[in-house]
Amino acid sequence: MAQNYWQVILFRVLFFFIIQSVTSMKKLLFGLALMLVSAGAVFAQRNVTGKVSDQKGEPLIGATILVEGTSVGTVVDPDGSFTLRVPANGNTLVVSYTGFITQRLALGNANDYNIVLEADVISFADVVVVGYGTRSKKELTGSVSKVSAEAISKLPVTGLDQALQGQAPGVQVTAASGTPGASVSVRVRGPSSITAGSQPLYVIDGVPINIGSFSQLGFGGQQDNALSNINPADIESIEVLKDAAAASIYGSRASNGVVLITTKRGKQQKTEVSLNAYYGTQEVWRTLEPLTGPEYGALVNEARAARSLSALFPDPTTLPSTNWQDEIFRSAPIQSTDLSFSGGSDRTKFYVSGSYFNQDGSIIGSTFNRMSVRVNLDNLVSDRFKIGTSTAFSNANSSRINNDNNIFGVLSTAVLLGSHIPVYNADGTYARDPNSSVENPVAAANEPTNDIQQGRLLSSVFGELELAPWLSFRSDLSLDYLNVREFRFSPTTTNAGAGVRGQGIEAYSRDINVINENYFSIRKSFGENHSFDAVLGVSFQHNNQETFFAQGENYPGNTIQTLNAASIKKDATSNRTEWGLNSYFTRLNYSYAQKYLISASVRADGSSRFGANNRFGIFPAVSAAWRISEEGFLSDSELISDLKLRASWGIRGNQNIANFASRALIAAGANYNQLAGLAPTQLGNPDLTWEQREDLDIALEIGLFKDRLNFVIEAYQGTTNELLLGRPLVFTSGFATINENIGSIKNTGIDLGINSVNVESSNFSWTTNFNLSFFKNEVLKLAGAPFAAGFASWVEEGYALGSFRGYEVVGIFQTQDEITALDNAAKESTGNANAVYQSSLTRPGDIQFRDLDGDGVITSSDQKILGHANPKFYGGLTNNLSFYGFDLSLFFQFSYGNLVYNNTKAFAEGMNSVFGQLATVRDRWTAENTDTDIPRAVWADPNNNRRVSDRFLEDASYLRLKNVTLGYNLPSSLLQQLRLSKLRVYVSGQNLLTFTEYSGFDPEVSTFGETNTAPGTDFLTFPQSRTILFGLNVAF
Amino acid sequence: MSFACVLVLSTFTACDKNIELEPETALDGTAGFKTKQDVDAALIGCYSALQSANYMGLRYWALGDMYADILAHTGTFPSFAQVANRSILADNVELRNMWQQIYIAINRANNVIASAPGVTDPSFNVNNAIGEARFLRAYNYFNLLAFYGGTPAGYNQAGGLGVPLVTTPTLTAADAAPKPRNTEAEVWALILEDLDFAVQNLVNTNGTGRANKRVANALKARVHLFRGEWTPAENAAGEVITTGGYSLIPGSTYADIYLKKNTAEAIWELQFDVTNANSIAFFYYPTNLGGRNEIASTTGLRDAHEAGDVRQAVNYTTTPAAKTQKYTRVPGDDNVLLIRLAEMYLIRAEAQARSGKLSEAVNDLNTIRTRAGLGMASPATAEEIVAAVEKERRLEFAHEGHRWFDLRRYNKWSTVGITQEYRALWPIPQREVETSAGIITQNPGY
Repeated sequence: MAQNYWQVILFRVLFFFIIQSVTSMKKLLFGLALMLVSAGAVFAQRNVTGKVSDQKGEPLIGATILVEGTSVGTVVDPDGSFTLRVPANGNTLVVSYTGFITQRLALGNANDYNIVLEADVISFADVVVVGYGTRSKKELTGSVSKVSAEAISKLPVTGLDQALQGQAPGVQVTAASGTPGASVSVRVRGPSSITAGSQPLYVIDGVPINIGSFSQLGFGGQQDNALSNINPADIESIEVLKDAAAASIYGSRASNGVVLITTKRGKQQKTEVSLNAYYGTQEVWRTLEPLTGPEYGALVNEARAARSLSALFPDPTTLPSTNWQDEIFRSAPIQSTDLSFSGGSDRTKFYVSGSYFNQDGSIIGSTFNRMSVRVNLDNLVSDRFKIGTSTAFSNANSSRINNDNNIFGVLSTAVLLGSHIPVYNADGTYARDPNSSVENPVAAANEPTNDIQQGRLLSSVFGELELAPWLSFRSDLSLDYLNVREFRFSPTTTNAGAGVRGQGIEAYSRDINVINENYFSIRKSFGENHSFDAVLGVSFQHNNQETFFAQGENYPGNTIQTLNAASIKKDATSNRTEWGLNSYFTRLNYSYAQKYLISASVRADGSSRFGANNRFGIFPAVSAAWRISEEGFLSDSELISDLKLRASWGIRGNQNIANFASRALIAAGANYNQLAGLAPTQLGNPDLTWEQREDLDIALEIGLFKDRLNFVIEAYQGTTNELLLGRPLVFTSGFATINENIGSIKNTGIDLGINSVNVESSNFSWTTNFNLSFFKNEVLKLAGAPFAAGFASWVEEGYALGSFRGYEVVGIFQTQDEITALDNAAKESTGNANAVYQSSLTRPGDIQFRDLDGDGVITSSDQKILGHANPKFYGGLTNNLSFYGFDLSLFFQFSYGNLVYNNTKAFAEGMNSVFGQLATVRDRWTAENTDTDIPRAVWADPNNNRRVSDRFLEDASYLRLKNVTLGYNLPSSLLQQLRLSKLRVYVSGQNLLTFTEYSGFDPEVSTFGETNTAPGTDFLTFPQSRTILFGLNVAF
Repeated sequence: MSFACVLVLSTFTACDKNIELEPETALDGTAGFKTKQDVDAALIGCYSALQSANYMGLRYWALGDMYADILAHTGTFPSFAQVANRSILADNVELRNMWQQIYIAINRANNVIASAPGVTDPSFNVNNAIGEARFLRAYNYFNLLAFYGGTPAGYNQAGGLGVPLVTTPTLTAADAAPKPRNTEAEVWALILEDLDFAVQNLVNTNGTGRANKRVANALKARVHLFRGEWTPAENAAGEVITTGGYSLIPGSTYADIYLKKNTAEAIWELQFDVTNANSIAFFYYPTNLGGRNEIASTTGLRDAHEAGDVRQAVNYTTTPAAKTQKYTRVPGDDNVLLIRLAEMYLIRAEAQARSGKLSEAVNDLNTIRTRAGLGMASPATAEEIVAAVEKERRLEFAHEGHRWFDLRRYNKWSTVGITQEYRALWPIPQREVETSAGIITQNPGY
């Protein structure tokens, strides 16, 4: 009831202001019309000319000059000069340029002026976007990291999430694979959930958008990524809200942090045309050497002989040799072109862009391309009423291939198909191994059609009304409309299509996300020292998702692939689901003399996803900062220019679960013999509610030498309680789980950031940015027993999420006596005459696993936690240098102490059956080669040598030269002749150097995509590429 | 549209509607099933549960045949390899899924049994619906007992282990509390009670692929055979043979039992079609024929056939190598024969032999042998007859999942190389033991 009462009051207030604004708008329009009429009057005029430059003397092209009190104005030409006809009543010029202090210049008798603008101390770089507003960096009481357009533009990335890697402390970004357009795991201060998703909330120009995959088809572990729809070139800045103080204004979706994306907007300047293009090629940076065909045949025969089985290959020396990796890896082009126009007058500003991005994957069969357009407009309807829009449409097409744990995968089969099979048979058909389950890799890449097309409209319109100098009201109406169409055809030339004579799938998904947000912003000072600002608002969001899926089989051939040709309509299904969120939020900031800052915010969210008894959640946060540098004793310090101590506390939520997870459900589709059936599928829990992450954050910010050297060090502790977990039920109930709020997980860590301007002179500058993050994750409480995930991952109380569990290798048995001794001991300790230590078929050359529980036999209880996938620390180091016209950027990114379970190796060094094997098994144990850690070859692996053990767990620490870019800017003298304002050419390389001990394709890998429970698993995953590209930036 | 709440500020109810949503693709399950349509559909759902690939749609009979001597493992699943190597661990995912699926089927049946009496529609045959659901519940418990229950010496022995009996639907979290395992005898008692009710109340004809009075009788024959109750087994099987209206497919077209659907020999055939398909042939077939080559017939099975046995070509094909003609449709529309007439002959033969009716027993045995294209056999003693029946059962029901249970009934599981006695019973899924905090106990040895 209390909430309803609240709503009523809020709406009354809103309603009042909307009526008020409409009335005042009418008045303003009338005034505007009067002004236009009067502007027709003729006055005596004179010409004023001049130049506008910065303190270094560089012309400020596009700076605007207005005659105060009139609508007369101009912008500065590319050569830095201007000419203006000043009316007789004009006596002051207002000269402004973004990032500089606006100058008011009284006109004397002179007609020529040299105007020098001073850089704004709190310039754009110092303003950060926060939820529902902006703040100067110095006033922040919460933890916000900013990534600028410049840092993003250097990387040839598909999605903006990849651009965050190594850029901000506390933000761990792991590209799950090198699949073009695929998912990226972003963890802000550790994974804070087990089942409900750990990806941050993405907000583009104020609109919380949908992320993740809307694909209905499986391709192995790699999911599609809706963020790849957004053109990174349109991004002005990205702010990551990391602590509760910064993020909890986004309430129930903020527990994993919030990424605020601001796109570029027009400025008051002459229209600037900007063209950016690059072209490059990508290649995997590492391949793994396989056995040759004859070696493979000999190995299989040897393994079979070890069990007295007949040889599979009578004469292995005659077998052909195919290096499947050579057949599927390629040098693939990547290119991007974007063109933008931006500019505007004092009343209307625009940014219009179009872009085309095209990437072929470094594995055959995979491509991604995206076309996008954007229009960002701002208009002052009156001096007090501003409207605008941010509208982008993108269309992304991708051709996908299977990978990971998939017998139809391309890399999967390239590793696991023996090299004794040729690509083609003599008759031109694809060759396959009759003893194996896996597809021919080349057929898997080239034969099936796997298209996905995503069209996305992301548009918002807003109106902002200044009700008083200290009070404004803003309303946004936004639409995120995503349309995904998928088409798959598996022809009869593939294993998947052979038995069913062609298989086709058409799948559509549509997701409509509508958001309306309305809020008041208040900014007011009392006296010299007290200043307040506040936000008060409501937000409504409704999301509607529909899917359609149809599958047909039995085609007349492979030419017609649409479903009309399928004679068996195998499946047709559709689905509709929705969720809604009603939110009420407020925030109050108070500053005393810019010295003592406090902030408090609260958001109430009501979500359709939760139980009727617990639908609303309240998410408060408080924070405070003390700017010690403003105290008298430091105000004259030459050394310390800024010193701030801040701390915050707050609660954030996570609602990232299925739409009707709290409801008891009876599902359709339990059909039999063409009759429709129903079956109960989910038990209800009306008490289901939010996950809640409670954070404490304390930070020290230091600026030295007039802020040329900046440090920030932060420590945090975040505990997520009420985790949304499926509490395991006994299967005898007919259900596996019930959704409950049980469990908690803790993240603690230290984030360190250093920004340094090492050298700054007119012809040489050098800046360094460094960030380093340490974190520790621990599962405090679970809903039930520990559980396994992925291949080797394990979730257990007291251990980190992402832990690995398995057996421990002691070594290789060298003699039968060693085995017999252990077997005898096993018989004795168990009192069972049949008992053996490991297996009755254990022989010399097999691995001895450690009897951890000491009962004399190896059982499943001899497993232990072997480590985890989380790094001890990770970070990035960027050096930007410029020397005359040259600029050089070196970006290193690193991760230390993280383990990867190399399941690829478990199969490709497993020697248990017909799978293709890596050359490393040449060193396998034999009676002659005993000094090795690779066991003997034995058919079907009776000792289970390839069980999950520390044998396949590897240190995947790496240091990577993620990007190096060398550019050259044409000098302004030449530019003027060319009538350009900028011309830069550059060459750039990605992943040029990787330092790692990891033996797989790539240490940065996650077979299970953005998983919470099984990170750091490598199983036949598309690796990262090394890219070299050439680019061009032109502006005029 | 919920955004009306912003645009039309006066209607506050629209705002509540934004967060009070009802699922469109599912029904509210708080109170179970209510109407005739609901219960009819719930009954269909019970059959749908049998179709799962974790149950009769593949794994129930395939894993049993693999644990015995019918199927070999030729594929990639480590969990299948454990079964083939007879080294199953308690956390084997296949066994876990199978156990789960059978209890899902039981819960569905319990829902029907509990809801049907509440339907007042006069056109609704309440007792037939309950009879059908109780038949299915009996079948599900029987299937659980066959793998997870009994003793290493067989079934219906002293001290036999059972499984937890759940006889009411799970509607709330409280209903889902763990229940301890019942004894084997208690599970048999429920199975028999359910089957008697089904025999009494089921109609004679109930639609293709569904239970009816004759099907219930046929299952009763199997139950009594497992329990070593020879006269009731003989009677139930005899009643199906004489009054069921079924006939054996001639040996010349033996493969038609499988290549055609719902033949005169089928007593209960689980129906599949291309829109409601299984992946059985996909699991058998080699990759070039669109399969995944996971399982194959053993050479031991091939070699067990006498010369001239028409079943050999069906049980062990040469093209594709080492597969079966029982499952040939890669699109997945092979039916699965759950009970067929040949079984009734062999049940009656065995039951008669055990109760001294030797000549009748040999007659039934030879009915199956001559149909298979073999000469008459003339075993002289009860033991010889039973041995002959065992051999016929292995060949007749290869790929149909009977073999492992026969080995258990005859206490001959060691013939497939199992040395550890406890492995005669499969482990209760480790998760079940853990989730129930030990209320559900593990089988000894695991």
